[in-house]
Amino acid sequence: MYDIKPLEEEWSKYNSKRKRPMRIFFIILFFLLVSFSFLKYNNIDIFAIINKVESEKLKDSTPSLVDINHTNPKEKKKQTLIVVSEAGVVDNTLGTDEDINIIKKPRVHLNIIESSNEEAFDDVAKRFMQTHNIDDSLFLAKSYYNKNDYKKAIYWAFETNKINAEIDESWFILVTSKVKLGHKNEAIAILEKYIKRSNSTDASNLLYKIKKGTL
Amino acid sequence: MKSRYENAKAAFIDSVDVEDYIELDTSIKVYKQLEHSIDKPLKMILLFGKPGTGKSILLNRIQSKLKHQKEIHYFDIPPVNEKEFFHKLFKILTKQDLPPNTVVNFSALVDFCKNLKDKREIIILLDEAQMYNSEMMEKIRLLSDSRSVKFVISLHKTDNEDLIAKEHFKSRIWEVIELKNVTKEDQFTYIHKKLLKKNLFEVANSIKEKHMKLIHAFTDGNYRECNKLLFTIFEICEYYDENDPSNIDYDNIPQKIIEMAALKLGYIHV
Repeated sequence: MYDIKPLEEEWSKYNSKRKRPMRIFFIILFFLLVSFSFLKYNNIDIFAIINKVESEKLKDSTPSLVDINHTNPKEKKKQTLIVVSEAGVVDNTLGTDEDINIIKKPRVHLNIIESSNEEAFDDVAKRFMQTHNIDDSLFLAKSYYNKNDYKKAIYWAFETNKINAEIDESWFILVTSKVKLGHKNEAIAILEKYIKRSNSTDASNLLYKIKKGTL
Repeated sequence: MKSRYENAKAAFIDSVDVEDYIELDTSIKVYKQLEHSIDKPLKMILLFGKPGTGKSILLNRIQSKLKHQKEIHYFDIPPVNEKEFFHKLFKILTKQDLPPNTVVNFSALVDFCKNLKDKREIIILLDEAQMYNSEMMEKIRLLSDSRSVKFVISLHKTDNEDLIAKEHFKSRIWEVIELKNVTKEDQFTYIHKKLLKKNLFEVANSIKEKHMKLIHAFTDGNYRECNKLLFTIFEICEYYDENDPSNIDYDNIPQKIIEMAALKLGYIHV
């Protein structure tokens, strides 16, 4: 009689060993799926965490991407449009529109996905520092405004106005942010100066709303 | 009751019987090449290949086919010594038995062969010629120089040794025929033909393409290894058929059985 039992046992071991890599693969896959489900359930963005870690590493090795107090000589020249002092005094150093040095740049399509990712904003800020493209600064102003970060919204609206003082939207972000921060009078003063210079109907409507307190 | 796998198993018993010879495209080509070489005025023909590539069965086949047309003799096993070899050769050449207590005078034998030139053409098929020593090979060469005796020398090809470069083959081999392992397709045909020759149609149909891939991978297309594996597969099938039929699918041999046979023969390990 053919002794089949030992051979069957040997085959069972062989079969089990052969299937081991596949089993390991499925176990890893299962754990990955469970982990992702858990993270998603708890609203944890693992990619954001990874990006944050990487950007922190980058920050350690490179200078800060956004310097609030930074102004270069070129910017100073452009700053002659309207100066908003820290104390809230508004001063239009150039009286006429002719003196306003408007830098008109062709509008380029911004390939930015609206994101809550702070690191993405840092990247845009970094890019703005290199290109001085108002699409970037205006984007940041709007984004921070939408996130209720009014101080940063004011900063980026101000940066936009330094380059191009003719953009209603930028002025509106600036003044509405001021209002949101409780600096209503300062906002009115800025807006009145702007209306005087631009005769913008929208700006006048906004001024009316601010004064009436319906903003 | 006799298991259907008993005959299938028997079909793969390793033998060099011409009755078991299976004609494949590649084997027909090699056969014709050897037949053509024998017809040429050559002194020596070298037939080589790895063990199990069908050298012995090819020599058997050619002897069986040509024995009524030519003086062709097959030396399947090398003689234990030189004396026995020349006794055998003496009998073929002279058609007489050597008188008792005598030895062959080699010089006289060479002269005898020279005298046979244009009268007779004798073909000697030497299988397993790697077992002949250099001195004997030298004497074989001298006999072949007489042009009346032609030798077909069958050798194992080994990885370490370039046989053709061997001293006594360097300038004398005029024709070299190499036998190789078969392709997957030819091996499939070989297995099917073997089974169909025994009228085992159902068993032949139970071996599918996927099984052939596995069998070819295990045996590397070697006939001897293929016979061993198939024999073991059908041996296991026979056991299940007789003792535990639930373990066997008669329409489709389970892969498990092929792998069990491969484990038993050491092609795969746990």
